[in-house]
Amino acid sequence: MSDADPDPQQAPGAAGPDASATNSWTIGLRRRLVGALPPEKLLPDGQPAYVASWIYIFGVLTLSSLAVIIGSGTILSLKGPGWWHDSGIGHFFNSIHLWSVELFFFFMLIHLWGKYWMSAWRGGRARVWVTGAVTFLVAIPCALTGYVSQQNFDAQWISTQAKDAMNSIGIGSFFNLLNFGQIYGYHVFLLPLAVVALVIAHVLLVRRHGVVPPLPDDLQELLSAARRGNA
Amino acid sequence: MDHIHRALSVPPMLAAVFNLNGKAGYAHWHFFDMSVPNIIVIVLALVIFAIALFAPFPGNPRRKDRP
Repeated sequence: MSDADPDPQQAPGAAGPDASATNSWTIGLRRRLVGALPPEKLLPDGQPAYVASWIYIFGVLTLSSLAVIIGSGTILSLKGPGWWHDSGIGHFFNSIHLWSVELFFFFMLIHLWGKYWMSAWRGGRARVWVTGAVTFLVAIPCALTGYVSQQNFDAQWISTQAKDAMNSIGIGSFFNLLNFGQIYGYHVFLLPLAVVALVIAHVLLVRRHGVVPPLPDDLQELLSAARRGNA
Repeated sequence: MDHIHRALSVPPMLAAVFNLNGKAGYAHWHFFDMSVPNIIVIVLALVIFAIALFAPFPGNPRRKDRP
């Protein structure tokens, strides 16, 4: 770069950000993101001592199961929904997919119990709790559409029963369980996208607010904290 | 269908300890009606939940032993 060339990192005519730069939406967004979640909170190098308990590992176990679900599901979607019917390898990946889903719900249930009984919404963590609860609710139709996509008699039975359930609550015109293409699209794209987006939001909120501490031993201490708005 | 069944057949050494392909049994008492596999999963979840609460974590002293 010659001396005559302007420095692309410098705003014209200013040593620091000038007035136009401070109005930039990228700068504003960056400041807001870094302010809400500074790097040391986003990727911490330590956790509080109370996290060293078995009850705190079920969130990570749920995340691990989700990673296996997404990986095995990606392979199954690449090969098509009929692959597992006529291939031993396809059957293997289908089984991996099924059992990782079973473990996902199993771990998520224990995670939910643990967080419910320690009132994990304390200390300004309401959004952490809500994103987790909504993830649980969205994961249920995500699994249901998978059972409907098996392309066997089991799927036929489940889809006709679920179709009646949808019609009974008045949403059958939006979700036709007998329409394989629609339900398969929901299963491999729309609902997983929603689950993954909610899980990312959930984890980022946990990073921002920190892992919820256990309830205090002293009930009076808990009540006074609740009065102060910290619980 | 035979070729499909052959493709899906599992070698005996990899077969499940329990037959998972048969019809599930049901526990029925008054209004309570639930399949045995569901009962097993729910009881297992409760047991693991209790273990997670009370089992000591390696390297972490129990709450009453903390300074």
